[in-house]
Amino acid sequence: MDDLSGKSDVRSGLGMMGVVTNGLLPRAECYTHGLLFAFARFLSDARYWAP
Amino acid sequence: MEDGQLELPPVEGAGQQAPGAEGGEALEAAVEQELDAIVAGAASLAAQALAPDGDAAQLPPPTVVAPPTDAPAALTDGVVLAVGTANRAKLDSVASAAERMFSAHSVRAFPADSGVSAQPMSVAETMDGALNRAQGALAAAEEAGVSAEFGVGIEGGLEQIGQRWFERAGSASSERRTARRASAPAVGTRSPAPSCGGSREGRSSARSWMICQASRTCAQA
Repeated sequence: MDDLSGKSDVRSGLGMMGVVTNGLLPRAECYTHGLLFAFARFLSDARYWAP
Repeated sequence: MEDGQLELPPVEGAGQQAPGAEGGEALEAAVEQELDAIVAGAASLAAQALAPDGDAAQLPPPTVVAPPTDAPAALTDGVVLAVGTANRAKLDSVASAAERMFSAHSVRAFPADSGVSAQPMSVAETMDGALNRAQGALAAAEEAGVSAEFGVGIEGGLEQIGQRWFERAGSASSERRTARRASAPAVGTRSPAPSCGGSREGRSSARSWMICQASRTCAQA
């Protein structure tokens, strides 16, 4: 990705997601959304998470 | 009567004298009064329907859905999150998510092994990696004497849909108190066409090399 974008250490910064959205959606923000979903069962009523 | 003409029966009331001029005017006035009342009523209804904010207050109040009241106590107190990585971007993401979830929190790094391949090539493998990191971080925190409420893991991976590859991130959480775990894939974007040059040197080219190998599009593979 570094070669393709001409930027250095994309992995530690914007990430590929940030590069292809021209910085509008940095990788960190994508991770944040996923994390909130991963915590969803601890945040909402238990009836949504019945086995 | 002339020939060819039919003799019609007499019409009831025909030939009788019509109501007097006074009776006709009274009827006309009554009809006009009735019409005026109808028009006035319609105008009043239209005015109510078009009235802006003033009359809106007379509408029933909207239904408000109360937030869940059985949220674990840990979510409202200071929460320690053990994150299975030392990657700055991932730690920042956890801090950002924690800001939204907890009123007070602490994010601690406890790098943990993903237990999957260096470049996960499916969503399932990616989420397994995230869960393993979450569990590993929780265990590492415990060994270090840190009482973390949650272990957190983030794993990046690829997913093939048709002939194309997409970047996907998996996130996972593991609660120490209940041993409950959860994971979720995040949004993803198409991965650019690889250009590996047939080399596995370097982290960036290693990823491209793996995509090339998996998609069998690399002439040098």
